[in-house]
Amino acid sequence: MSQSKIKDVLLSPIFANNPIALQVLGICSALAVTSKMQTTVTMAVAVTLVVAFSNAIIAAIRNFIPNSIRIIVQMTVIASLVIVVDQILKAFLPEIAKTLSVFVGLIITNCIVMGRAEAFAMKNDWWTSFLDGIGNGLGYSVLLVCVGIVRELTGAGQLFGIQVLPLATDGGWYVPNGLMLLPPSAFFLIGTFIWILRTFDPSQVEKDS
Amino acid sequence: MPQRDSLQNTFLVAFVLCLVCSLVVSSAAVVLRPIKEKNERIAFQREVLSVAGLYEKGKTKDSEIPELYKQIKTVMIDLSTGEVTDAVKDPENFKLSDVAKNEDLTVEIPADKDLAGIKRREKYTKIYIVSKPDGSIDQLILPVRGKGLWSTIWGLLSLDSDGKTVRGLTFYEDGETPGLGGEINNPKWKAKWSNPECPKVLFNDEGQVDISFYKGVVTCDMPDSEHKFDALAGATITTRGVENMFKFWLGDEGYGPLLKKIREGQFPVTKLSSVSQ
Repeated sequence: MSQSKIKDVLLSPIFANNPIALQVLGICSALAVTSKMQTTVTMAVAVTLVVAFSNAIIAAIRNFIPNSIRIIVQMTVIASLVIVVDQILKAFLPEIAKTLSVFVGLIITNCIVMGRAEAFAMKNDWWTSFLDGIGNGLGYSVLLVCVGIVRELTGAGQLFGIQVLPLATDGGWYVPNGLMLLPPSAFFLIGTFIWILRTFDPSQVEKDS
Repeated sequence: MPQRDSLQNTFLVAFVLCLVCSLVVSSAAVVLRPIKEKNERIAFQREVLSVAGLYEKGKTKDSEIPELYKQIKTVMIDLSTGEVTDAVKDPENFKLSDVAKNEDLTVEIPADKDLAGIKRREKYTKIYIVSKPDGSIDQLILPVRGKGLWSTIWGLLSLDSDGKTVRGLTFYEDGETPGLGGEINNPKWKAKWSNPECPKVLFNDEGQVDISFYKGVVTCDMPDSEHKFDALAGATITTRGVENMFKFWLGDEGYGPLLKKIREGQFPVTKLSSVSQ
């Protein structure tokens, strides 16, 4: 495999082919977990690991998977990985796991994981698929972190739970915008992100049908 | 090897995959269980300490919790009589969430008395006691639970040694709507229950449970403010659930007999020294 292909597989999902911004996958969790950076980053890491490993495993066994049950096989692999990740989070980061609640379990239904398994891992070798998983995980992470930073900073004046902007209620100057902590704000922010992305890369704009 | 898409191969792949995946998942669960149990224990101890006012969020480190928790004594109580009991074999490992599900360790609550909507209550329960330096009771911490809107709300209520004044309140498990009913865990709302300048009293002078929830802000100078509590805006059913939970657990089916003894000064304080931590 050439160097340029590795780079392409790893980096193109970040901006050029972002799973959330261009393919509009995995929106549900992007709305739910981005009100605090701590949960955002945990979720981003969890999803990246799950996509990377599910891609690698599915690619490694792709030649044995009967066509008729391939989706179920993919789901089983993904679900097992998600349960393991959930267990690890509950054991080592119990506080964060409690705030993430069902959303770790719902990685199973995150379309990015399923989509990459079906579209990429079924056709490529395990190492390329692993990198594709990391790349798509990073694409998801970049968007989540961008949204998370804006939401926590404007909604609570904090980053990673540390007060950055002094709040008016504590004698500072910043009046937090509570709307930013509610899920709809993530919609506006993702929309803005897509808009900025497509301004710089007009090829992502859909043609009029 | 048979054809990839043949029937045998389909079954073979499905079987092997399920076997491998179930092994991975179950071994992860088994390996991590001790760590998770330790976390749960610490999380519960943190709740007990915070309702007792001994834990400050952001200041107390998790590593200090076991040491702080040594101040807390526990005692097993027979709910129907309010007496200390030694009928429970292994009080160390008494876990209320497990006991509450066990038919042998619970009794059915008569439907007309089941205000909290929990159907069965435990025969014996563990209460937590914070003592003063001289060994007398400072606070009694009582586990309570009851139906809210969506879920059973599990909480801890801390009472003063007079058996009627609230010292602290926390809910450690609930599934109420975040932002509405979920506000029962809002520190500002909980703080209103245990404001030393404006104490809340759960019983009237005749020893009857006397609490009511008030729509609007309860100020200290209102008549009867010590028996009035702020209802949560937009969470009528959750608030009613909390009200009924208190009425049930403070009543005859709950801690009523125990608290009556305490208010009359009969609780055997001396026995505490012999009780394990």
